[in-house]
Amino acid sequence: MFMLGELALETQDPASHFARAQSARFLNALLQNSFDAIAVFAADGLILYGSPSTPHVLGYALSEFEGRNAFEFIHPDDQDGVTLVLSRSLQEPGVQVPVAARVRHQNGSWRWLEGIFTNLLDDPDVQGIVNNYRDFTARREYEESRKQVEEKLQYQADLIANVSDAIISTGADFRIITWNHAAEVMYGWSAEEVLGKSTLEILQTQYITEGLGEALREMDEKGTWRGEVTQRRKDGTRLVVFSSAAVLRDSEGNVSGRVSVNRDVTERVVAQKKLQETNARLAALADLSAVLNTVGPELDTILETIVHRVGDLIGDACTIGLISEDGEWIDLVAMYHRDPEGNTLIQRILKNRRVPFGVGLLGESAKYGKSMFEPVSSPIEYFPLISAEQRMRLKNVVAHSRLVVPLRVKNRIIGIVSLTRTQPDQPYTGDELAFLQDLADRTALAIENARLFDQVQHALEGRIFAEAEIRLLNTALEERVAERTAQLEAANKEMEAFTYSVSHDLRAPLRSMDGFSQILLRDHLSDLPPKAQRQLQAIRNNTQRMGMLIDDLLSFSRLNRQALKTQTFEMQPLVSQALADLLPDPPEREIEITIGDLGTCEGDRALLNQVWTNLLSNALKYTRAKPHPVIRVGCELIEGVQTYYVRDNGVGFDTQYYDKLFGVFQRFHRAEEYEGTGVGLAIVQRIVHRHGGKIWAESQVNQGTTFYFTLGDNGQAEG
Amino acid sequence: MPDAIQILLVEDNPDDVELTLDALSTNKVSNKIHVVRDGAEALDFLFCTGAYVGREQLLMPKLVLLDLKLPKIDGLEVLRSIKSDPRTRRIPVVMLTSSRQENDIVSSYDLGVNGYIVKPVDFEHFNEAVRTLGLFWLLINEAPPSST
Repeated sequence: MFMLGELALETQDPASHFARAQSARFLNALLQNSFDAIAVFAADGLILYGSPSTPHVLGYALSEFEGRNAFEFIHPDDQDGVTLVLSRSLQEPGVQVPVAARVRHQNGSWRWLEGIFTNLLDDPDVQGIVNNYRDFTARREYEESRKQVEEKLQYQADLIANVSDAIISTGADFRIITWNHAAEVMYGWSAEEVLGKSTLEILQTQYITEGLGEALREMDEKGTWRGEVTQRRKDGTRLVVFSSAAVLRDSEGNVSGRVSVNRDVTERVVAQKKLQETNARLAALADLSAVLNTVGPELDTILETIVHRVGDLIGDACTIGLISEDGEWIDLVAMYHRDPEGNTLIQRILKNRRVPFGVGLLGESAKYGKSMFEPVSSPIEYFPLISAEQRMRLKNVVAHSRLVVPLRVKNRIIGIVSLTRTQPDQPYTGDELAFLQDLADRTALAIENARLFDQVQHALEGRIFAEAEIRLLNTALEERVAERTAQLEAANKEMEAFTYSVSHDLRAPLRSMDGFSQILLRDHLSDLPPKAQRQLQAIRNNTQRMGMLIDDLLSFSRLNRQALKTQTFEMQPLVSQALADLLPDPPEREIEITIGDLGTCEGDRALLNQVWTNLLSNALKYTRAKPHPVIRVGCELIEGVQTYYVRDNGVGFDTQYYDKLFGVFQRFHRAEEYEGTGVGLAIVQRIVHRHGGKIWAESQVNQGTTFYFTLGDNGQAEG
Repeated sequence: MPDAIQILLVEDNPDDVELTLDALSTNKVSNKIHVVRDGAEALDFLFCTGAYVGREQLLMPKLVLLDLKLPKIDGLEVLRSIKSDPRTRRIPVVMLTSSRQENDIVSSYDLGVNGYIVKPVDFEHFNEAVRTLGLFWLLINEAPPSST
């Protein structure tokens, strides 16, 4: 105040001012209206003096003030502080000691006073402690409020600096004004690098649900905008960001800028996406297992199902190749692209194609049983298969990233599953590889099962078919047998009727012819010329011959209908008896006949008697012209089979007619040379055949004939 | 009372009848032969029915020569009737036939035939057979007493 006064004095006319200073009234007025006041009190606080401005500062009249203790006015909380200042002042006389405290105003309010204690107790003119003080309540309140504001601002700044969310403010022109630490970390740009630049350039925000324009319009209308966006980092990768933005407006309501608080939710989104994917895949696996169980065992259905599911689930194109039977190729058996146009294309290009085993991504996967991964791929492998035009189109469809996994069953590789992603920037991941392999293992098993099922089915079908065929054949056979049996029975009956009429009706006229011829010859011989007699005799001869033919024919036909009466017996006596029956008694000529040991045999005795009779009678007949006829009957093993023979040295026959030898009514000699009907050997052959045996002959003209016959390969006769 | 018929010849074939009669007469077996031409007539004769009503039932032939194959009623049926009727069953019946069919022969014996002769084609053999037959059945064989 003195300084101020001095200053004032200096700036005004010093002479007049000085003069005024001489006046006590002037001085008193000045002191009364001063904002400063002086109090002098004793060492114990007793107020000795109050300056004239005391009422102006504290509201008390001097009379209310002087003579009181200063501590009566001081705020209880400040008494200790003032006591401290006072004691310090007492210890250091003449030194100015500042002090501040709340003092009760006469109106009851507390006023902040600041002052300076000067210990002038030793000054004889004063003898007290001088407190030069003033009211600074208003200034203090201002400072208090200002401090609070500063603290608040600091707090807010700290908040902005320390939150993990990026806080960015821009002007209306999107130029960046604020870029907090979190923004630096999140986006990779330092504040220095981006301040003043446009967020449009730096962040390249893409709104997921709407365009930039719409989002800004909405923000300006509502004043705020919240939602997910993607934003670019300094390294080019994109973040998924949850953004909360607000519009700033000036006093006139115009947009002055924007503030956004952005939180990086990429990890959350990725994790969520991954979880979704994992769930989707688990669901897909379960689904696929169920599908594989329900689509039925047809291989094609399984393959189609798998390429569709995998193509839709992982994307974008899925192909299954199976190793060909010769192991040289991988046959592309099923393929699918989830884009319809792409699907049409790959169906056309790849269907029924094959790629070489061991070559290329598919071939190597199949050969080594390893999964193959190509982050960035080209469709080169397919190129040899397709036209240039297709190649161009294929470029749009195929291959930014490829995965091939082998189809394994136990330790065998049966083919591959190939996945091709046509979307850029999305290379396959390890997860997808693992998933695909898991899926491929199931698929391989399903394919193998389908194939096994197929084989079993085929075998079964084959067997069922064969069984059905056999059943059919059996039925047909039974029917045919029944039919044939009926036919045979009918034929037999017819035959019986026929032979009956043959034996009865044909013989009767013959008998009449013979009988009447003979009666003529007997009763009218004398009336007949010799020629007529001879001709009547010829009639008789022929009727008798006709009778023999009929008899032979009947006995031949009877052979088929007679059951064999098989028994075991000595053959030699049978032959001897047959021979004896044939030879005239007494003998007409000398014949050398030997019968060897014929052992025992099994057969129909009566029929075998017929065989021997016929063969022996032939031998006798055809040796008739020989001066020394020789007939040998014997038995030998030919190729292990007991074989009987009748050998003669007769006229023999020309073997060029051998195939007619055993035919019915086949004769090798003229009737006037050797009698006979030509049925004898046919009968012999039939009897031998019915015993399961064979008969054959060897002959040389004029040297003789040998007939051989067996009774079955093992000597066993037909039952 | 007419002479008793010695032989009843049942034969439909007239040639066979003539030849048989020739053979019988040649061998002087009998001239008392009655010929019937089918099975029905044979039975009528034996049982005195039909055309033979009034024939003396007690006068039975000493021998019946029976052809197997006959019109109307065949030989086996005639044989069965003869052998199943007490009035006739003791009359010797000889089948005189062309059939060598085994089952005919077997059936005949089963029905009680007394002889079975297959008529040979050769007339000499036939003569011989008829002679032997007549000798045996009419002269050698002791006929059963006539039933009264």
